[in-house]
Amino acid sequence: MTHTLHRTGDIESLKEDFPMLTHVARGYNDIGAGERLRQMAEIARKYTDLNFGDCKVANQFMMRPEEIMGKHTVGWQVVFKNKKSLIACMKELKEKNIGISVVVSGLFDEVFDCCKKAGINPPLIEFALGIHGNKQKHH
Amino acid sequence: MRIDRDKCVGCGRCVSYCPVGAIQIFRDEQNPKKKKSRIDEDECVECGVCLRAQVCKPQAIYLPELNWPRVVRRAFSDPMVEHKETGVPGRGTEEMKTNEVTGRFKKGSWGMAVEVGRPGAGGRLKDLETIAMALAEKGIVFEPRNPVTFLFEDVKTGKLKPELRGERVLSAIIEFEVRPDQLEGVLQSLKDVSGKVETVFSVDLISFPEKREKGPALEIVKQFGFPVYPNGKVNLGLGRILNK
Repeated sequence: MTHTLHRTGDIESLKEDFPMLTHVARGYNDIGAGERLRQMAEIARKYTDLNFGDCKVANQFMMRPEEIMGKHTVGWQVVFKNKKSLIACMKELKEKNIGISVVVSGLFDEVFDCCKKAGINPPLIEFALGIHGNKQKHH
Repeated sequence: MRIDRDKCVGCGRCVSYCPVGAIQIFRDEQNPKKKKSRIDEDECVECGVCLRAQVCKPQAIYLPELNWPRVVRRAFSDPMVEHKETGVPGRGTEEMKTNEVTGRFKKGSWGMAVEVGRPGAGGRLKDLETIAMALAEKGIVFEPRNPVTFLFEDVKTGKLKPELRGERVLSAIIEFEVRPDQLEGVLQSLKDVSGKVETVFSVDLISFPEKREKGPALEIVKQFGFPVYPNGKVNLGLGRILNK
């Protein structure tokens, strides 16, 4: 579980935290998606080696990334630490146009800046509106 | 999850791996000089972390056969398990991740998600029902491609199948679309219900950015006292078939 939407921290720490995930759309582009996911993972891993994994398979601390990449069915996750690498990866993913959805989490100002530099116009965003309920019991 | 009492050596290595604190060390009644670990089955969400961590040298931890309704715990808590209704692992929903392809959320309205429980906290499904019923009163329609929707006895009211109310999961996401005329009522319901649940819940808003504007709903959200984090998720729109 990525839970990248509700990542907390000060602005400076969040400036160096960009989780990226891919996800197939069931019923649209999931048939034979494994090879396309592998191609996209190879692109992403050229630009970062942080926390690569597939929640249905394993992460790089449990299995070699090359082995994980042969088992994708739904999607993979990876983390970028700096914008330069993220922008370069975004550009290449856009150019290769492999056709699987990509989501990036992070500070909106930073992610939008990366999108602009990569020539990407994001169609949808998701905001986190806080934690509610019995916070006394679970803090 | 269970711990085989005969195999357990009481080392306690498994205790810190439980995300909901359901593993305890106790003195063995049969041999008071020895300690054993045990899992509080009522608190356990069947996430399988203790087993996958591979910290139990005598291999005393095991997954027993799970029947309905307990099997729901594992479906919503073990990220290695794919929900059979949606084919998606984890919390079982594609949410906004593939929206450029599926058109699940459409311009002119907003998507919302309420995640009941958190990794580290967990939650009973009766809390999910309390929130879902409050939302249903505002006329929202639950997302059909979300496994939570299959838990309802009555999808129009948000009433759960009664045998599920006591089941505990790591977290589960209620997902729905909100029209502009519904947003204020939905936000008020979430504020009202906040003091009525035993666990925590997080609220998400899915919006279409116009140029660099981050969505007109945010002003309404702020008026109702909800925080808006400076970070969140951005769909890059690379899955093709951009929806009209």
